[in-house]
Amino acid sequence: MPPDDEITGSGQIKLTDIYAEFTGTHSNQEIQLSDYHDEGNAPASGEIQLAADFYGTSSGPPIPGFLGARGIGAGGNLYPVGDGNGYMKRLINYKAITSNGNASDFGDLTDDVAYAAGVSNGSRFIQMAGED
Amino acid sequence: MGRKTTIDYLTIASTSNASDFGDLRTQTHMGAANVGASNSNTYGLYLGGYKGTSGGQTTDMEYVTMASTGNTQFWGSLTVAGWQCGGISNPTRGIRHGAIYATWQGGQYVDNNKIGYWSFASTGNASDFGNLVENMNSMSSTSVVDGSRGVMGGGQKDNYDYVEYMQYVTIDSTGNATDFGDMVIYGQQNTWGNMWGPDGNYWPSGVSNGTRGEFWGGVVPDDAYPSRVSIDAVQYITIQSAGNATDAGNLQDEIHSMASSSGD
Repeated sequence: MPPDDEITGSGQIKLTDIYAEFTGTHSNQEIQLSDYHDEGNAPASGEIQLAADFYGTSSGPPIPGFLGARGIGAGGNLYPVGDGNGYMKRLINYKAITSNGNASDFGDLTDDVAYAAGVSNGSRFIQMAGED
Repeated sequence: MGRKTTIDYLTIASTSNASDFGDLRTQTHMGAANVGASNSNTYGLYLGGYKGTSGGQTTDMEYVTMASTGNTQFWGSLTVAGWQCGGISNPTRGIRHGAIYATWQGGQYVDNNKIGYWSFASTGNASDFGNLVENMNSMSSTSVVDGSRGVMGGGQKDNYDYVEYMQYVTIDSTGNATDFGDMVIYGQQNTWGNMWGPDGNYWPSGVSNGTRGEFWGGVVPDDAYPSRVSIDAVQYITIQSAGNATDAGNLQDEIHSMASSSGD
């Protein structure tokens, strides 16, 4: 899913959507596509096409493909338990990053582990190394 | 306690248990703990850590090709050895920040303020990027990023002096980190009935969707025994807008040092 401030990647696009996303470049009271040359995927001059040039675009920096709307947190450590030491976990939390709310249960790692690395390519999450 | 050699993976879109991906380079190491994380769209790296059956800090970066399965391979060396470090990345550049390293002075390990970077275009060693605001460790092991900016949350310095601020760098440049704002959640009560915050937070876990970043959990000081506790707080920031964090919800449990990332 795209981040919540991106212009939609399908369906209808309104000029007001482009104005809202790239408002800093708008120069007139009347919204004109020519105000948005060089924004989104639009060319610096010439014809601008609404869908082809603005689907899924944003005024922010290009968003890496390895990021997404769902956050994953796997394993971890709970301080403290009865003896004052930690308690390693294998549970996996997930949560929609786009809004506030509590995390939910995703499943379990194959073992208890904390202090590990988490990486993603956008569709696959990988947990490496750590301590149990 | 033992250092893990295992690697797990899961498909982010579908809730389920994790599966076996492969192992660390067991021919040379017996696992690693307290590592940082960084990734491009293709490669996933773990950074430094504390390795071997009898310990030993390392400069090693190891990587996997995320779309396949298999064991880690050697990527290159960090600029300084250490553990309890963090990572930042965009598709072309990776960054490692902060760490404890074993310069034993006055009966204590010493933190460092070093930031190193490398290109994901090919394997190789890290180069000097700049410095953190001060010497520290145990910031978010995966920091929150939007492609151009990486924000590091909290940390620890001088043996249990907790850091409550966030700091950021511009990934495609080099230079020192800049103050972003504070990780502040006031007046909540932990399991033991003690109040915590706003005196710092270390070992949170970072996730981001490209515009919004969240820090999950962490460790905060306690005003009574046991003196430090894990928390279940989720805090968020808007990555391009420096300012203080805001409460966003709760984890399933009070926890710190999760392996974290995002997707789909």
